[in-house]
Amino acid sequence: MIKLVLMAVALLICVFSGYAVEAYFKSRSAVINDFLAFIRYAKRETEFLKTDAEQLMKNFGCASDFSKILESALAALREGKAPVCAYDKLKKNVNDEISAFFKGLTECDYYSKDALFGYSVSVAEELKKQSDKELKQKGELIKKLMFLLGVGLVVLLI
Amino acid sequence: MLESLLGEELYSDAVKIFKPDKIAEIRLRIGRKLAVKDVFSNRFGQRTVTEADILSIIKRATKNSLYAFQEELCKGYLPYSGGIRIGVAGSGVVEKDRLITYKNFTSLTIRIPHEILGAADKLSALLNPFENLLVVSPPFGGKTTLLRDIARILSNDYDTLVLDERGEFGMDGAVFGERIDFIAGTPKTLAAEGAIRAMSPEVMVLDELYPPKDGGVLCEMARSGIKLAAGIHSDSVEGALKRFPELNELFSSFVLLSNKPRAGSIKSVVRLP
Repeated sequence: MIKLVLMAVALLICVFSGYAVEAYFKSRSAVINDFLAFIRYAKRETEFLKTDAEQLMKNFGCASDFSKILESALAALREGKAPVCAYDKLKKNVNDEISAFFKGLTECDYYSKDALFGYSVSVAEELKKQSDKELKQKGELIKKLMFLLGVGLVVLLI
Repeated sequence: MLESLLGEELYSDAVKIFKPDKIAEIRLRIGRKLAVKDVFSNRFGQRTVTEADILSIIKRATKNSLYAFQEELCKGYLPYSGGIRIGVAGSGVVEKDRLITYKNFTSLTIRIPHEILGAADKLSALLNPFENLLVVSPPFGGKTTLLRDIARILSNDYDTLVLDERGEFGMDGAVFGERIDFIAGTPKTLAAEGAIRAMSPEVMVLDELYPPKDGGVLCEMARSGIKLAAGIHSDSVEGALKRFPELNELFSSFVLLSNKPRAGSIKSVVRLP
C-alpha cells in the first residue's frame, strides 16, 4: 500500500514539475509576444493619433505578465524615474531590450521614433523566435522527460 | 498644476517670490536665476536653473512623449494642461529652409493664464450688438485674458466657437456661457472650414492672428456671416492696420491693450464708422 502511494506521489511530482517548467517557458514566451504586440500597437497609435507614452502603457491590454511590466514602467514614469523592466522570468538581455525600448519611447522625437520602432520590432521578432524555440526545445522536452522520469521511478519502485 | 510642471524645488522657489495665483510668467534659463513675473513686476529667485531642470519640465509637459508635440515644437512652444503655455528656445534643426524641431533646449518661458471675470465689462457697448472686434496688444498685454472674458460674455447670447490653437482658452475652471464650443490644438487654417460648415457658429473667437497665414480663413469666416473676436500682436492699432491692411475691411472695432501700468490695461478703443 505504501509502495503504491509512493509511486503515485513520485509520478505526480514529476508530472507537476514538468508542467511547471513548461509554464515557465510559456509565460516567458507570452511576455515577449506581448512586447512585440505592444511595439506594433505603439507604432500605429503614435503615427495616427500621437498618443502619449503614458496613455499607451495604460491602454494596452494583454493577458500575460507584460501588463505588470507596463504597470511598473508607468508608475516609474509618473514618479519621474526611468522606466525599467526587471521581470525575473526573463533573461537579462530581454529585460535590457524592453527597458531600452521604454527609454527610447519616452525620449525620442517625431523624427527618431520611426528608427526606434523599426529597430525594436526587429529585435522583438528575434527574441520571439528564440523564446518560441526554447519553449519547444526546452519546455516541451523537459515536460516529456519529467513524465518519463516519473514512469521510470514507478517502474523502479515496482 | 504649476507644481506638477515645475517640480517641488523650482515651485517652492517661485512661490517664495509671488503667491501662486499671482504668478503670470516664469522664465528658466540654464545657468541663470529663476525669473518670475506677476502683472506688475519681474523678480529673481534664489535657485540657478540647470539643464536637468529644463529637461524634466519638458518631460513633464510632454508626458514623456516629445514625439507627440512636433507641430507645437516647430512653432516654438509646448502646451500644458490648464492652458499653460511653455515657450522654448534652444538649437533649431532646419531642413530645406524649414524649421523641423528644436534640440539642446536652453530656455523656457512658462505663461500661466489667469481668468479675470469682468475684464471685458468695460467693452459692453461693443459686445451687444456685437460686430467684428480685434484686440491689439503687445506681448504680455492681457490679450488672451480679455478675449476669454469676451468669449464668456458672448457665449451667453450667441453660439460661440473658440478656435483655441494653442490650448490657452479652456483653462481649468474657466467660466463660459451655455453656448460655447471649443476646437483645441488645431491651426486655424485647418480647423476653420469644418468649423464653419459643421458647427455653424454665430461668433468665432481666435487668438494670435497672423494675417499672412490666416487672412484667407478670416475672409472666409467674414463671408459666411460669422462675427469675429480676435487678437493680434502689435503696439498700436495704426501699426497693425498698416502692416495688414486687410484687417481694415474685416474689423469694425479695435481695442488696444497695454502692459503698463499693468497687463490688461485698456489704452484705447477705436470704432470705425
